[in-house]
Amino acid sequence: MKVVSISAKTLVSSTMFTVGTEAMTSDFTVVPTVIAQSNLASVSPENFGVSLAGSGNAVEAVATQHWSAEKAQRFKDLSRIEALGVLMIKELAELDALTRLRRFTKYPRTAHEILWSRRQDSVTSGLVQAVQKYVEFHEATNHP
Amino acid sequence: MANRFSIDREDGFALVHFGLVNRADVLVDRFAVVFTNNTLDALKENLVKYSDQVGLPKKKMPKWEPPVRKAEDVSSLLAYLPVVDFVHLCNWNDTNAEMCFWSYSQAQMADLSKMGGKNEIMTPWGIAMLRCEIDLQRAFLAELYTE
Repeated sequence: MKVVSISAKTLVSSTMFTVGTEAMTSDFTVVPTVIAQSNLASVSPENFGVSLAGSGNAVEAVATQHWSAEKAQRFKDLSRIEALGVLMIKELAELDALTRLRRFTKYPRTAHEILWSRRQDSVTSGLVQAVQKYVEFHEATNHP
Repeated sequence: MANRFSIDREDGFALVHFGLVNRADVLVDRFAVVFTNNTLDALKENLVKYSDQVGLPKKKMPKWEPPVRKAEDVSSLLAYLPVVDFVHLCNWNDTNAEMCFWSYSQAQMADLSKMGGKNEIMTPWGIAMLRCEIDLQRAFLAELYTE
């Protein structure tokens, strides 16, 4: 795991509220959290006015999963098994994860497409609920 | 830290409130920022794509109406409503999330652009860092761009 030393003085001086923090010069060591997802493709601490002690270190803050030939083959295999038979729960979860990763990395959707899809899901869900209520109504009541 | 949020849509901007409510249902801390519609448009691709990756909330967030606070009722510091230009988001362990709100000067950006130099780096300033459960982040992003 990557360990980055950060100067407290450097960090604090990057904020707008800092006045007279010259006394804070002690260094401390942090172990960066393993970030699952971030909305930045790559992070350069300098972009945020923060410089790390030891310029060779950079905090890894991007999704660590990448699409690869091995994953593509696994996706293909699992898709075939799913089409031919029944996947085990573990394999189903793996296929779901690979499908999501494939979509994000190989075929990313635009914001418009994502929002449209969410609206469609919401409308469909409303429709299913309405049909369910309709069926329940006719099952539970006698016609006059 | 926050476990509640609320979004007020106004003409040309959105006022976003975050709150920390304890078990006794008492609001113990709060924080609010402003997103202009221009900023929301500019961040749309980035935030919606991130939202798509983290997914929709798995549990329903409690509805929260932040107590009204008028500027004249509080000190100028508390009434301070920073305007956000950029949000840096992340999550880990499928439970924790972080939202860092940043701001920068459009004038400085324009000046740098006029200079035409390459690799110009503009330093934004941090407004706030908020930690929360991932479901609050999911719900916030989904609602921010609900059409």
